[in-house]
Amino acid sequence: MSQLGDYSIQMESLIKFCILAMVFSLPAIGKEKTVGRLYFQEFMGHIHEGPSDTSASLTAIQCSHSLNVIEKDGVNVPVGWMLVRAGEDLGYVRSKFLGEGRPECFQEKYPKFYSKLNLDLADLYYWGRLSDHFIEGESQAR
Amino acid sequence: MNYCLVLALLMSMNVIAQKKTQEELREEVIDYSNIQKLLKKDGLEKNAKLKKKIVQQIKVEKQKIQVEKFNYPSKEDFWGFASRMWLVKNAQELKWDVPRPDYGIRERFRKLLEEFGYYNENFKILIVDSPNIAKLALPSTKNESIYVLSLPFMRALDLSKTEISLLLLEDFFRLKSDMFKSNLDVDTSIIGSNFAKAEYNKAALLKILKAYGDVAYKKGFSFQQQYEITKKMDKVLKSSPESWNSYFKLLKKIDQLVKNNLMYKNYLKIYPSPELQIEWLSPKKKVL
Repeated sequence: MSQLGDYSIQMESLIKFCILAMVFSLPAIGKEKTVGRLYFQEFMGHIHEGPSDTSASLTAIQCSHSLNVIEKDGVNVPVGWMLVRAGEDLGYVRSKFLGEGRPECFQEKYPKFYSKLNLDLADLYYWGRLSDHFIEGESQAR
Repeated sequence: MNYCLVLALLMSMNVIAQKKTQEELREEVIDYSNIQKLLKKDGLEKNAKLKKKIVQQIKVEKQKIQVEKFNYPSKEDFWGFASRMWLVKNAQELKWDVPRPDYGIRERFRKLLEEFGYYNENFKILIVDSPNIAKLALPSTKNESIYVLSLPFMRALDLSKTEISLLLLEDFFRLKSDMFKSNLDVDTSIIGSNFAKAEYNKAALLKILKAYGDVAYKKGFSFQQQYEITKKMDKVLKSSPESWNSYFKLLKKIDQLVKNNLMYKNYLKIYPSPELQIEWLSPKKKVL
């Protein structure tokens, strides 16, 4: 009998703990708001897990991929990056790779040539990574 | 009375005879000459001709679009694509998918280009963690160039950002002189052509990519090309003695490295030869 009593007390404290954990974790979940829609401008790229070029890839994306720009409570997006959602993936893309207008993509300009390339997954992965690794610049008349 | 009835009957028959029958009327409607006149009068024939012409034009345009889908990339689009493709296909060998240092190369190289009046030049630098290629510039669009720089090479020479930028400037001139493309020595006739009525020539693209590798790892540049580049650097850098001196010192550093470090013995095959470059730059001794 006393064993049953102990068990019920344990269960009660476990339920209490679960409720408390849920209450305290609510603000951390954060609300998500779509603030715009932008197009990916590069030939290929990645949605990163974190706002860093070396951060792991959540998914590979292609030129003119439409992405929802997200604002999320409690998430500070560093300058030069954007928090985006593509389907179920929520991650980061460099702002310079995104634009409001639909770009003229190589894939669309040369559709048959592109399809004949038969790029495999490794090619797609590396092609996306290439944009992340390039140190880019432009000389200008001042 | 009877006479009156007969007279009325005869008169009504006469009236009927004067009216046109339904068949006659129908025949009149299908009188094509009448329609033609009417159409001409309304300008409908003209419109029909115009519509026919537009339809024909649309057909031609549609056909053109369909054929254009089978285009190989144009000259402007091809080289940037091929250079990237080569980097992608050689990713494991070149080891560029690693965290890279910046060293402030972007700013220094940009300033160097601007200092010597090369404006609106886009550049993309890829740092590789492999000594197999010390440095290399790959063709892209008219105002874009792609550079490959080896991290172990930069470390072995302990290069400053000015020295790295001077190496890039050398490669920039190589690209501007189309040396890389001319050294490929491969059929590039697919560029800008179309395969709507032919088989897709995959072999041609593979040959071009193979030729990239040949230039990068085996053939490199000729003595004549090196002479031209060294003289070009000499001419451009003379306006900035500081940069000229840095370039001269850089060549000495490279010369020492390739003579003493076996890892870079291949460098001489690609860029012959730092020793000669120093000689070409050195003021000629006067014979008394």
